[in-house]
Order: sequence, then structure tokens, then C-alpha cells
Amino acid sequence: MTDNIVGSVMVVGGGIAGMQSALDLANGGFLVHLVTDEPSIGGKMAMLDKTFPTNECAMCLLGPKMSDTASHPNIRLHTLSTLTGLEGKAGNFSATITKSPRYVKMDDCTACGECEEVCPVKVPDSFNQDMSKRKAIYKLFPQAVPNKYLIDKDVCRNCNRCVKACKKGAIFQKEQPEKVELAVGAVILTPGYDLESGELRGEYGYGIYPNVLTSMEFERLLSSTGPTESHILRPSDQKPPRKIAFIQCVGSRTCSKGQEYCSSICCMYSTKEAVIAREHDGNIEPSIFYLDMRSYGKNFDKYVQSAKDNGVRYVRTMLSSVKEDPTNNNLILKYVQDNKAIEEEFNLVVLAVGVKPPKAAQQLAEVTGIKLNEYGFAYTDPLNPVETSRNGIFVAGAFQGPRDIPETVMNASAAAAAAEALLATGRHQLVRNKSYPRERDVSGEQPRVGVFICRCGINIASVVDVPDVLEYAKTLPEVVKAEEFLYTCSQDTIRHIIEVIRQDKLNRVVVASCTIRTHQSLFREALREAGLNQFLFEMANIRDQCSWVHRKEPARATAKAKDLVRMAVAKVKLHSPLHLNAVPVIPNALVLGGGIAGMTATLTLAKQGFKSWLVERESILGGNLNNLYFDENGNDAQAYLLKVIDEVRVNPLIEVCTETELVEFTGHQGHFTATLRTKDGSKRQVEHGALIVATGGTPQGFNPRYGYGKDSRIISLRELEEKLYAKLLVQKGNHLAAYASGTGQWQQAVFVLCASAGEKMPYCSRSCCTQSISNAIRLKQQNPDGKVYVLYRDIRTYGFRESEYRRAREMGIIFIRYEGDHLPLPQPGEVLKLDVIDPDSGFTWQLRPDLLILAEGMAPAAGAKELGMLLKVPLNEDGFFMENHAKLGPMDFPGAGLFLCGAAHSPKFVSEAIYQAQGAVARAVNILAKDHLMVGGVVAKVTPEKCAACLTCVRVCPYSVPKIGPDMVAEIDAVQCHGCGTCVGECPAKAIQLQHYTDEQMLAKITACGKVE
Amino acid sequence: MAERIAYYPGCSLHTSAREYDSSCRAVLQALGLTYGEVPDWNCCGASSAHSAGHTVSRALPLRNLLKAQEIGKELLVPCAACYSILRTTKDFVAGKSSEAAKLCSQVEKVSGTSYKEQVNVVHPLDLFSRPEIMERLKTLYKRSLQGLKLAPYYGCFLVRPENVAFDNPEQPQKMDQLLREMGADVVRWSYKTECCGGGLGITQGQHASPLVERLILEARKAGADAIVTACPLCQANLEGRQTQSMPVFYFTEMLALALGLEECRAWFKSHLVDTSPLLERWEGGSNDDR
Repeated sequence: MTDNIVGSVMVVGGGIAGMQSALDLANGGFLVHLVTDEPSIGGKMAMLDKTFPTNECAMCLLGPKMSDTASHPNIRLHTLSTLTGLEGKAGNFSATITKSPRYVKMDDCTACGECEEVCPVKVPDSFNQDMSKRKAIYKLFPQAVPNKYLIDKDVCRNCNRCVKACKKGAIFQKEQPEKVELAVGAVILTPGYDLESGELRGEYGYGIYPNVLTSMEFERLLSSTGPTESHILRPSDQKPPRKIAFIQCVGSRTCSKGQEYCSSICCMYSTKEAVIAREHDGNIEPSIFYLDMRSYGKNFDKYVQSAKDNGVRYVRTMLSSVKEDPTNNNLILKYVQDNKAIEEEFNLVVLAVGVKPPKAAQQLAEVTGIKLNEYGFAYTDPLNPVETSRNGIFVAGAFQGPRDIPETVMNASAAAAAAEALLATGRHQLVRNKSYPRERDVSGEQPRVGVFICRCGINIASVVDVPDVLEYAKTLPEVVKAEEFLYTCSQDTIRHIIEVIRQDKLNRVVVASCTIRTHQSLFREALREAGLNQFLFEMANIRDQCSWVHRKEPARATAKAKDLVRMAVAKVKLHSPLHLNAVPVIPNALVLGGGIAGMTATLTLAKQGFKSWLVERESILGGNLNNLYFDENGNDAQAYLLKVIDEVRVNPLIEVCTETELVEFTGHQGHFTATLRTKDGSKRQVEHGALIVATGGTPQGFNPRYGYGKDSRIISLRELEEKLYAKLLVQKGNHLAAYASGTGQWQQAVFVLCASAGEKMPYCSRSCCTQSISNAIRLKQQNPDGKVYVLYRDIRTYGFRESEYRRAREMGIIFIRYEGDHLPLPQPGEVLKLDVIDPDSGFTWQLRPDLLILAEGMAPAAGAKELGMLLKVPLNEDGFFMENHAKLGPMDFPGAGLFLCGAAHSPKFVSEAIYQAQGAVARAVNILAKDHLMVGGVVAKVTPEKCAACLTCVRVCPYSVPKIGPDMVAEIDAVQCHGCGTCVGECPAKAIQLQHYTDEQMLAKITACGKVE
Repeated sequence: MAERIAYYPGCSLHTSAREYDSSCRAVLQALGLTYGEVPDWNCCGASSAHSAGHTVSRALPLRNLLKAQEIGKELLVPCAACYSILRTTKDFVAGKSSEAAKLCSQVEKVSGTSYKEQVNVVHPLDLFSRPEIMERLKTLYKRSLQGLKLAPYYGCFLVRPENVAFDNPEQPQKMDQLLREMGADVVRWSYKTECCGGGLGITQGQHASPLVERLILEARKAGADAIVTACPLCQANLEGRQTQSMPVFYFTEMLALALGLEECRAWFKSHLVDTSPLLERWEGGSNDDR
């Protein structure tokens, strides 16, 4: 069996999900074929301007991810390719991909853009939602990866101007489609999603009124690479709008046009677009017209509150139509507020269009044979959230259903973990490790600097006088070789540079071209191949920071290019070789918390062959799942829990440590030492390479004003579910369950949601709406003549859960909204009185429940703060653990080797805890799969004699790396250090130096700036 | 030789909407389309039958479909309400439900003929918008409507509900295109399908008047000289209730005008709002006879 396992995985889809899966797999020791039908990776995220809830630039987050993916030695990128055939079985598939021609040779294209310049064909640019024009030869977007052009043959006139313009001869008009067969052990599908058309709701006039846009069109208006270069101008007159209306749920939550489900992301992206619009232009007055505010994610409610504080208006209403004033193209919205019909004029309307299945869904389902759900997304079981209906094929991201970026990243890592488990015996089978010649010892040599200057086609040379800079470089002391090239990054130039380094015995190299972000690794690689330490290299950015920004002043740009080259030479002369040291990895993990997240993590580790300790302070496993009786499918959650506990208990790779706590923690990624203490006080130490925190949450308790515990008619949601479950067991013949006695006789049952909160609600516990509604349905089914009411602030049945909400309403369950300043408090007495004011109509409902069910929120687990201090990891203001990055690092802690999953991160559904746990394992395996970690290089180094142990570095380090050691001086572990330089800048005694950016090196560079030679 | 079209005028086109009837027939004739009025047609049932009973509301239109078979397979219905109920009934029968089968057998028993389910119910706006007919209109038309600023008004019934719609239910375009092809200056406005209150015209006149007033004002704001309709109830309501003096035409009248049909003169006189100032201004303005 094992010899049939192929150690490679195909990932279909190049968005953030595909990239995350690919990177985790490649770092975990598998060869990855990343297949995308687009010409570039990046997906929808590349189109976004900013991301919620941190307002960070999407492209700035995505850029490094794209570079990592493209440059990873074990990821093969197949752009413009579709999966067209899949034979074989799990572990050993034969996949066929069909590659469409690019008509531009990937190896030769340098993305200089000269072809684009001369192309006479202009067509609407779909990346900019057709709001600007692109050429027939184009890049998908400026930061496209791979950074290569392609020809759109549908519009190309074959005039051959590009062929003549391309100095590299990269254009190849006769290229034909090609079929490639690949052997892979597993497939991960990440094709993402599509957006509904704005035309879906004709009454809003999209496509008719020029000033009605979709949210993605507005996103492009906000973006600096968009059609207006981030100026918000309305299409009719190119003037800045003042009043902007955002209309929610266009194509979502509807049973007529569009989709029945909630698209899960629109409330937040509209909030973000409104906030960013105001940041761009303070005169803008945004209003968001919505039904329920679904800010269910981590820190989302705070984000909405800050939007409100910053001038974003929220209006809860359903809009039936948008009219246009023909004289000025303004838009008139008619809506009801406080029982009055209001007509309000806006300058611009943005439609929050919903999410629909990707156009590739059907085709992928046919080729792979996986099942789609009723809405056309990939079918998955909530308890097995990344597995499709076909063994060996996994799914991640929005193809499973609408979700935001962090959930997509969790999913993508989870899918990687699932594939790794399947292919565990094939790990390292196909990955390659490059070998390099022995490094030449340059110590004691006088600097011999080689300077290589790039013309970058015309990008640099049309502004900067490159021959002049070249002649100048030759005059600089200790520069023994200087050359110019049309493109320094082209493969023939790289080969030439390697040759020159060897022949001329160069011991320092400067490349004056573009940016270190994209090209440094390429040139460092050349140095290694030439037998030179890779750190004996420096780049001068004479393109992005010179020719591109000083186009109109060529003479001064040339002078600046000389300055930049002189500075780079001055610095590189002081470079010394840096060596990375191998630190062995202990391939075991410690998992804190024995709930569903922790148990899933240990099982996922075990499937991949890694041993783990499962530490639980209680005497039993299961955590909060012990209090849940029905799963998301309505099946027996307790049966599921027992099954998982059994699997954990019998697994030889899992050591369960109940009634045990972590008391001491030291070490670094790859090698931690944890001290565990059992209830009886005995201690033991375990050594492990990674740690996963899955300590969960705890019920929040109720707002005392609801009188829980004082009246037998007032029960918690958990108690209700237990009673309903007991009744089910009795029906099934389990009479032991009869003690729970069911719910008794009732004629009126009232659910109060958010019953832990007071007037304000700091965060949403996410699962209570759905759980309450499911149980309301069970109650109603039990007694169809009884009245069931649900009192709520916002119904947050996001995603496919919306169908449950709809079903409840169709059954006659009545939903009444309440506001925080009018809590629906019961008045005790013989009859329980509950008066609730419906804020929309002003009507007061006089309810007389004989069953009042309170839904409880989720709080951080007790002791989370102490654990945070022990592990030196941060918590957010609600007390949940804070991940490394809200968007792209939802399972990572800032400290390397520490990972996070489950309710310890934030309240969530069981299914979400499961995939986050699987994902955390994939993240941990990035370390555990390696024999050793290479550490050192650009890291901070302490000079012990200068250190006063003032704790400044300890406090400022964003990754909590510096510690005061036994010698009473700061110690910075090279394994943990990210090389950001923060401590270096802050150290009052100048006791810390960042290697490769030492004071001496930086001063030499700065001094050279002012010193013309 | 094209097959004969069955023509169903309904009550309005024989009474209050004579100009719609005459202009429709004149345009058909000019296009060389042969047609014949459905023999012995009865009330379509649109306005009152549904409140009298479900069966009768379907039986009345079904009998008309049955009678239309005697003329041809295409049944042309200019009144929006008649169109809607006849089309709905046709679809209902085509749905082959047991209820539909029962209705058919009942109606067939009374009328003595069988329904062959081959009648296609068409509105003239849909018919005249067909590409081949649009081409024919373009070759036939004598005089551009340039200079006439027209606001096409579809009302609530013509393109709704969606399953019987022949145009976008929320943003219909066919009348706009047809008038634009005839050279008219079609204004863009948002009130094309907004309720005119015609349904409340008799019973709740006080509610209908402000709705009409709003439509006239919005049309004026959009720069229109006149409103163009395809529904007799809308036309009567818009023309009869307004306090301004904005003419309200049938789209077929505008087609006839563009085709240079002399009969026009007579119809324009029967309007409640004096159409002569507008039409004289237009005639004096651009005499670009083709």
C-alpha cells in the first residue's frame, strides 16, 4: 500500500486558499502543483483595497504570500490551466491539466511593458470590473505573479507590433494548448467564489443608472491600482460624491432572486468600504441600509461600533427601489423609518452583491466526481469539514460556502493537514533539496566589488542614463567589475553573473535594479551558486525608487541612481558572511485543552505520524461539547463525542494527560520544554517541537436581571437542549434518560438571545442564534399549536444557516427584535409577564411564557490570562487569545512554534473549531516535518557587556523573543527572532545589533549618500 | 404567406381606448400583417372575475383562447390587463395540472370545441419589437419623431409578474427602443413601472390622484413633453386625473405618426389633454420627410 502513495498534491485555485494550502504542504515536505485558470495567482483578495477589521492593505498582505508561493522550490505553478481529467484513487491519482497558451514565453518575459506600450487594442479591463481599459497584451494586475505578460487572443489583431517591440523575442504567437499529466496523491479544490450581478435586483437600477455600482466596483475605485487611482469619483460626472448609500443583501437572503443563504461577508465589507471611503475623503457621508448586522466574527462588533463613531450611519430597513433624478443623476431611496416613509437623495449607491458558487464548480464536480450541495457549492459534512464526497479530494475556502479570509485560511491549512495525513508515508518523497558548491572563504581578502546595472528594458534606461551610471560605478574604489544589462534578472544574465563572480574572484556584489521584495532571493541564489556567501550582496533600487518616480527629471534621476549605487557599494564592502545554523527539531507536539479542538488536533497529528500530549485540566475530555446534544446536522452530538474520545484514548501516538496543567514553559520552536503538573502535585517534563493552544471557552453566565435560577420556568438554552435530547433518547427506548423529564406542558415558549449581555454587547458568541433557532424548531415540532417567540438583537445565521432561520419563520415561529436599552426582562409572578417593544413598529408585545429560554454567550476559559503570561502570548481586550494576524495568521501566535485553535481564539461552531484545529496542525507541521531548522542570518544580536537589563527590548519585541537570562543580560534566541530590528532601534545602550544591518554598515551607507566621490 | 393574427380588443379598445384600437390596427395594416378579430369574444375577466370566483376567472379567458383558434395561432392582445390574464391562463393550461384539465373539459363542454393549446398570447409591444418587424418598421417609416421628448410608461401590469413578462420587469426597455428607432427623443426616467393608481381610479380616487400627479411631475423633470403608454387603464387614468396638460399617447399612435399614417389626425383629437400644441410644434419644427 505505502509504496503506491505519491508524495505530491494538486491544489486547484490560486487565491488565498490555494496559496495557503500549497505553502503548508510544500513546507510540510510535499511537492505541490498549484493549478489556476487565471494568468496570475492572487484571486479575489488581489482586487480588494483594504481588509476588515484591521483596514490593512490587501495587496501588502498578499504580495509576500504570492512571492513565497511563486519562489517556493516545491511548488510548481501552472497558470492558465484547468483540471480536465482525474483517474486513479486516493493516494495515487493521475490528473490531467489543460494549459491555455499565454503566447508569451515565461522564461524570457521580463515584464518590461514595452509590448503593452505599442499594442493598439484597448478592451475593458475585467480586473477593474470593466471600469478602465487594458491592452490585448497585458498583465492581470500590476503586481501579477508570475510577473509575465499574456495575449488575449480573442481581441488581438495580430498586428505583430508587440513582437517587434519585444527585445527579448519572448512573444510566441503560435503557441498551442497543451495537456499535461501529473501524478498526485491528493487534490485540494480551492476555486473560490463568484459575485452575484448587480442587475439581479432590477429595482436598484444597476446598469441603467450610472451612479449605482457593485461593491467590487467600489472596491476598485478605492484601490490605488484601480481606474481612478483611489480617488472616489462617481461615474456620471467624475465628481466626488458626498452621500453614499450601501444597500445590503443584493442577491443574498432572498427566496426570489439570487440566493437563499447569507453571503457572510457583505455586512463587514460594506462597513469597511464606508470607513475607507471616509478615510479617503472626509466629506463623504456613508449610510448602510441593512436587515441584520452580521458582525459575528472576532472583533467585528467593535469594528462596526468604531465605524458608527466615525460617522458611518446604519439604517435597518429593506429598500424596495432606487429612483434616479434625471437632472443630476442623484439617486432617491425611499424607506420606512420610525413608521414614516422617507425619501432621501444620495450621490452614489453601492450594492452589496452576494456570493455565489464559482463558475468552475460544475466542471470541477464533473471531472472529480465530488458532490455539490443544494446551492452548488462543494458538499461537506460539518464534522468533517474539508473532506468532499470522494476520498482523497479535499476542499477549502469559499467553494465550501461563503466565508471571510481568516476562515478561508483556516480551511486551507486544514485541507493541507488532511492531505498530509492521507499521504504521510509519502512525505519528503518528491521534494528536492538543492546542493551548492562549497562557500569560498573571503576573510582577509580586500573587497572586490562587482556592480551589475539593469536597464529593465526601458523602465530604467528611458529615464536614467544607464551608461553614465555604469561609467561612474567603475570609478568607485574597490569596484573591480561593472556591467549593464537589458535585464539583470533574465536567466542568461544570471548565468553570466555567476561566471563573472567566479572568473573575477568577486567577493561583494551589488545589483542596481528593482526591489529586494521580489528579486533579492534570485540574486542571493546566484551568489550561492557561484560559491559566495549569500549575504555578501546588496541591491540598489534604481527603478521603483528612482526612474519610476522621477520620470520628468532624467538628469536628477541619473544623479540619484549614482548616489544609490555609491551607497550600496559603501555598505556591501562592510558585509561579512553570515551562516545559518541547523537546530534539530523534536517531532512531537503538546496540545493544551481536551475539547473538540484539542482532540481533533492530536488525532490529526497522529494521522501524520506525530506523537502528542493532550493536556486537560478537567478529569474528562470533551470540553464544551459535553454540553451540546445536537450537532449542526441535528444528529446526536454526544455519540459523536464518545466516538472521538475513544479514538483519542486508543491512539498509541496520543498521550492523554487529564487533571494536568502546564506550569513552566521554555525553549524555542523545534525544541520546547514544558513542565506539566498533575492534580496530585507531581511534575514531569516533556520536550516537543510545537505547541497548540486549544483551551476553549466557558459559558458566560446570564445578565442577573433575567432572573435565571429564581424561577423554574426560566431555563438556559443548554438545559432546553438537554431536555429535548433526553426526550429523544426516551423515544428511542433509553429509559435512563427519563430523569431529564422533557419540557413539560407549555403553550408559549420564548427565547431570549444575547441574554448574557446588558445594554451593550462587546462581542458576538456566534453560534447561539443558530442553536436557539434549531431548538425553537424542535420545540415547535413537539407542540405545533404552541406559540414560539424568539427575541433578538440581530439574527446572525450566516452562511447556509440562513435556511434554518427561514424554516423557523415558515413554521410560524415569531421573531421580535429588541434593543439593548429595552431588555426583554421577565416580571416574575404566578404568570410570567414579559413585555417587549418592537422598535420597528413601536408595538408592545405582551408575552406570557410558560417556558423562557435564555441563550448564553461564550467567555474566555478561566486561566487564559495566566496561560498567556506563561507562554508570552497576547490576549485581546475580551480575553481571547490574539493570533499573529487577524487575516492571514489566524492559527499562529506571534511567537514561532506556538499555534492556536478553537474557542480559545474566539467563540465558534464545532465545525469551525474542527477545521481550525486541523489547520493549526498543518501550521505546526511546517516545523515538525523538518529534521532541523536553519537559524541565524538577519537576526538581532546582543553585546552582553553593554546590556543594562533595562527590559526595553523585552517590552518592545512584537514576538516576545528577548528574555533576561541568568547572567542578567538580554538574550535573543536566533531561532525565534524575526529580524524586524525594533529592539535594535529602541535599545538605549546600543547593546543590540541587527546582523546585516549593523550600525557600522548603515552609517557607511548613509555617509556615502552625502559624499560624492 | 404569414398566418393570420387573431386580434383581441377587449372592452376598453372598443370604448374608451378607441385610439389605441385604431392605431394598433393601422400599424398592423401598414406592416402588411393580416389579422382578424376573435369572433364572439367575451370579457377577459381581468377586472372583476377573480373576485367572483376562481373558476370563472380562468374560464372566461380560456373561452377567448378557444375562440382565437379559429383565426390563428398568434393572439394579439393590446390591453395590458387582458394580456396578463390571457397569458397567465394559457400558461396555466400548458402546466397540465389536474385542475387545468378539469377546467378545460368544463369549458370545452360548454363551448363544444376543444382547445388545442397552440395559441401564443402576444402583446403588440412585444410583436413590434421583434427584430424582423423592427427592421420592417425602419424601412417603412416616413417621418422621424425627433423633437418629441417622450417618457415611456409601462405601468405595473405589462411586464409583471416575471413569468409572463416579455421585458425586464423592473427596468423594461422595449418601448424605449421602439420609440428611439422611430427617432423620438426618449427620456430616461425611473418611474416607468411605478403604480399610476388606475386600479383605485373608481373606488379610491383620492389615492390615485397624487400618484398620477407624481408621475406627470417626474416625467416633466426628466424633460418629457409627453408620456407614452401601452395600457388603456394607465392612459385614461394619467390623462384624466392630471392637473397639468401633458399629453399621454399610446405607443401605437406614435408608431402610426412615424409611419406617416393619415388616420392619426382623427385619433389625436379624441384625447382628453389637447395634443395639438405639442404636435404642431413638432410638425413645424423638423420637417425631415424621408
